[in-house]
Amino acid sequence: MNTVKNFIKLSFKNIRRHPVKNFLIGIVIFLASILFLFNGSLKENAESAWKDYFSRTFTGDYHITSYQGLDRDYTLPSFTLPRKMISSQIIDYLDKNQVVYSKRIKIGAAVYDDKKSEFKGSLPALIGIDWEKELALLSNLKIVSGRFDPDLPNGILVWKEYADSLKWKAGDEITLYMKDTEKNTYPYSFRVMGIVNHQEGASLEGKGVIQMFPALFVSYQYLALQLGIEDNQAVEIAVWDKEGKYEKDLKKLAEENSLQYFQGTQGYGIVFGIVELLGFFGSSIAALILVILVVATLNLNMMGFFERRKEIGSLVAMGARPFWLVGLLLMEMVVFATLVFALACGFYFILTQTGGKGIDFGEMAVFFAGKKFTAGFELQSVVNGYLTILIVSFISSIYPIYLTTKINPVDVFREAEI
Amino acid sequence: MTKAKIPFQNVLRHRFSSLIFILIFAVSSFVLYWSFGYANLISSILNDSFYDSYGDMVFFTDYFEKDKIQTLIQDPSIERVVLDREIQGILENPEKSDLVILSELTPDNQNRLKRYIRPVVGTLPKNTEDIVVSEFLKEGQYQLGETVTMQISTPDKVINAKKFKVCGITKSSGWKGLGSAFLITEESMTELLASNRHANVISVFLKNKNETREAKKEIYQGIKKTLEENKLEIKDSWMTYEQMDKLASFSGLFASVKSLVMILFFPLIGAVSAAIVWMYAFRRRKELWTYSALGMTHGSITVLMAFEYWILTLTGIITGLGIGSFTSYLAEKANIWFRFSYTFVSPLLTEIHTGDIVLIVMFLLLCVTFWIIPPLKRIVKAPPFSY
Repeated sequence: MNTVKNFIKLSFKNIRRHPVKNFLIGIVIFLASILFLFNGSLKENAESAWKDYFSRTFTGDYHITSYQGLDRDYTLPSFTLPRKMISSQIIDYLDKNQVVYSKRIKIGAAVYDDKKSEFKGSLPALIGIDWEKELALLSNLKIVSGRFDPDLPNGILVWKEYADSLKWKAGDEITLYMKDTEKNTYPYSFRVMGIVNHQEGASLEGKGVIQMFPALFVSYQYLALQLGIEDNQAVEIAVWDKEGKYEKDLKKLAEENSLQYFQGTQGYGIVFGIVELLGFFGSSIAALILVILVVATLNLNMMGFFERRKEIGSLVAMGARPFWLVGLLLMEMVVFATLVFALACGFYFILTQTGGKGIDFGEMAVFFAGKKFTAGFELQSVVNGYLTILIVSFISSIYPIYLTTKINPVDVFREAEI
Repeated sequence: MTKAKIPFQNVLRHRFSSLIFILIFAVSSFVLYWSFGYANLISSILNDSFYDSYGDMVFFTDYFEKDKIQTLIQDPSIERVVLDREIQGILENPEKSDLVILSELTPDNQNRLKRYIRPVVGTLPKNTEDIVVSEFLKEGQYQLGETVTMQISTPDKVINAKKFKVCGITKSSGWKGLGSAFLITEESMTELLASNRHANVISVFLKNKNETREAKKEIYQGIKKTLEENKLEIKDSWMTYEQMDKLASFSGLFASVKSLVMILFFPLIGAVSAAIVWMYAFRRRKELWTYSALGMTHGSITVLMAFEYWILTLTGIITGLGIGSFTSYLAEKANIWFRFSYTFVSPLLTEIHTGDIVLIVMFLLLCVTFWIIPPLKRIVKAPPFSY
């Protein structure tokens, strides 16, 4: 304990002894730390904003699907039903624990123009839902034209942006081609009873070149009957569990039953891509800074070693064991990195407090589901940032430390060869 | 002349410190090369891909007779009108079925789209049974060698089917079919449609690509009117600048990469080089004080030392840019692609202009000059042999 204390004391002394060098290297560590914290906050803002949006608009807090791979996607749904349905084990678990959930059938349907005898656009996602349950849970959905008619069995609600693209309006009769459980493709008629949109969120209209939310909501019972899906069976389960109380168990059950667990963003590849892209940008810049930091600190540690050869030589001559020397140098590095990182955290904290009600990114608000960006501390990015900086410092110290352990005090003090 | 020799001699004399300094700037210029090159590439893809795919404006219509349309669309501002075939149909095999867009690869559009359509596996279609699958929206869903059947409706409203074998997989098809079009040969499309007289996509290329928006709109409205008067139904149509407006956010993001990297690098590289100069100049303080004792002014000594670091910086920059260029060549050969779900896909390549090289060199030289002078001055100004 005493040794560690002495190591820390010596480290502080040595840091103060080289103020210019440490100040300059401190700038690099400081910048890298701020970037880690900011990047973590960017990613968290994007993820949580979209998660909240999807939870209230389309998918619930999380989903379990029997689709495999990217067939789970809601923007580009599969034209074929999955080979198996959601297992009874999962439904029993949900019922037993009284979890708020809803059974769904989702399938990609081909829009057919009867007049021209041809297909139109890409496949929309036809989502069979329990009207009563889900229209209450999807609190961000509102009917902007037409009205919900529970007595119309083939009535559908269409996402506004998609309806606009096909010039559909309430009351229109439409034909969709779908593949049933026997893998036969048949045309089915539906009546548009209403157009739905979100109450709040990013307007993605005209932002991309494909329809991001080609969603058509239809009655679960009606769709099951048309496609030949047995009563009570489901292709997907939407779960409302904000606290994540049952998330772990359901994830495990999904894995055991070869089903996919995912959150809203992963169900909309285009949004998932946006969040990924944002993370990639931040990580790339942080990685570049770290590369430069490694090269710079390796060099400075080497220089430090040459500068302090006599000091280290004296310690060895006085009986210091290599372990102590290594410990001393490592401690100095850890103390310095910790100090700078703490300073960066403090500075970042002040920045977060002066941010007010958040920053409006204007056109780029699409990254945050239309919400304002609020800089905050993410424990994960604090831990990751600190560990990365320590690891980088360790890597750049390996060779200088190796040289330290090989030092010969006699050589250090020899003035010249005679 | 003797003074000019000293920095070069010092560069060789202090090999270790020179090497470290060169390494720092080689890494920095390498990073700048890739950041600038990749940002340029994405910006140019965003700016050019719509134009390369469909020209200044495009009309997706019902089937029409090619000869008739060529005579109908006449305007002195138009350089050429390209008539293509892009159809939608159901692709089936025993495992799955899908609604896909099928596009023909003609010698003309193949030339325009070669930078986007680069199969990561297999080759472009050569025979009539060949099909290239775009993974832009269908990642991992089709394999090389797989047989699929395409069902479409011909211009005569007859359902036709044709078997294809997947001969290649590409990550993108430019903007053909929004990047997701499956590609077949011209002959193959003719077989499938049972006609080579019909097409359904009209791409218009203007003589002046930089024509004003108003002028483009006028031409666009004129063509639209002509097609409508001739009872040709337009399913969709747009001008390229309208699509580019939609991607303005992304375009802005990539365009800002260069500035962002430079803002970050200025203190970063600066602090690193200042720390190194401080350490090395401190070790060489006897040498600097000797110059002073020999009558050199502080300014001359600073310039002498700065010249040494400029030589090292330039050597580092040349090395970094050389490695950047070489790795870019390797990346092009390896045909590596970045993919973020289906939001964004791009090849890992660089597109560097002379202006970028000049900017990198100037930026790093400015950076090193700004940051190394203060530590040099501090050492030089200390009273000679004051320890």
